[in-house]
Amino acid sequence: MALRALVGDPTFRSLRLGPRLSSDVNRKIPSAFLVAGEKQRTIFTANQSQTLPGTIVRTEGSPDSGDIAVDEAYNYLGATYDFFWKVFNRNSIDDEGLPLNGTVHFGQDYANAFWDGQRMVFGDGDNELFNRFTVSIDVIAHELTHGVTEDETQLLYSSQSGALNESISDVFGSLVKQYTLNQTAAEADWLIGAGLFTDKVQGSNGQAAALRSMKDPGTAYDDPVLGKDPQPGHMNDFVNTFEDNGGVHINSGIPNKAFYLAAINLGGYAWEKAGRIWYETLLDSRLKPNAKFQRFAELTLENAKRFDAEAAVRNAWAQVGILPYNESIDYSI
Amino acid sequence: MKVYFKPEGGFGFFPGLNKPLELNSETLPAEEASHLRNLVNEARFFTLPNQNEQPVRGADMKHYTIKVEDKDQEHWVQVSDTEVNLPLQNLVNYLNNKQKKVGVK
Repeated sequence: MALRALVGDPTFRSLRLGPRLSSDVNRKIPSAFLVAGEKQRTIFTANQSQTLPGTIVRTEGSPDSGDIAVDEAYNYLGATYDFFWKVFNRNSIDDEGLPLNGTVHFGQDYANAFWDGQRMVFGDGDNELFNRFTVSIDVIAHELTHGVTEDETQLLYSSQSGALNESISDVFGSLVKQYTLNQTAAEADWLIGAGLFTDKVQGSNGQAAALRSMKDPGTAYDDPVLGKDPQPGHMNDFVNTFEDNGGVHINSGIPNKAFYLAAINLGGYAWEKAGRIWYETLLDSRLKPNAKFQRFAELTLENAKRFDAEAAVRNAWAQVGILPYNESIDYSI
Repeated sequence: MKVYFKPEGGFGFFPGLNKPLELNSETLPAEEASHLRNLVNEARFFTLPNQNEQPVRGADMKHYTIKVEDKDQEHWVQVSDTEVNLPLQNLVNYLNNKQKKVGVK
């Protein structure tokens, strides 16, 4: 009786501020019947077509399917859910237990992964340059985080706000990987998409190629086919371009580097302080959809105060040319 | 017939994979020129709207701009990976593969 009343009572759902994800997202179980902390994953296959969502191949609690892409999507979506729940007490993408839907085997030789507003979609790669896109846990966490950002602040997917949107997905993508591997900030590789490229793609400085480096933007790959990693790590090298929605995957290198520096400055596990500060900033109602790097940086400072981390965070943003150094602050960490 | 193709977006930006492609049926081998013309015709390219409604949600999706010039006709369309028109998907897939090979040079 009580549960039935809760299902029909919108009072508490309405109290939450901000726009919600579209109501047409398929909920298999009414949210009131889901226990917070219990994930609900459904993996579909598009069978190399581009029709979404595809057919169901694995649901919550079912055993390994034997299809590696299906099982990676299931396991890594689960790891991402667990990270947000255990570290930030966030119950799924919308903090209300939204079921996690992933589609694998999308398209023919499709070398991409995306969030379509309702689900995470992964291609098998072309096996020339790209392996399957489920291979890297941080790539799966990156896509799920796009859903979180869309739910919380709807950062416009263009220019600086779009680059922030991308950076936030890289930040939490990397944190999910570090949390899973139990790595400190100093131990982590800070690479996005390690293992995603085939052996044919050349890395840089003798390292295996990856999609992006948060630690050293612009050094993830240097390849005759792909070209050279175009990411800057400082505002002096900001790229003005119409390509890539105004450089959302290019200039994200700058806030990525700032997060890396903040995490290193603070030491220990990156999700405990730096990650918490970035998460609180993402939830901050003062973060508007058209926010630029500087506004985001200022809000991280505001949120850093609660964790006695203002100097470390300001130092990080100053090192990438977003905020000036403050003469009155002792930066010795 | 001339076909211009420009991919955009995706999980990352790779300079070598985002170069524009230009094909001219007169300089392609006859069999391939015929294949390209068939793909354009099967997609009923010149009758397509320039853009379908763009999704307001989502991230990392790829988008493609295709322009075709043929005799006195000229038309362009923008499509995304969630395009449901199968013949148009086939044209995009063909052009994607061609673009990747051109990008290697």
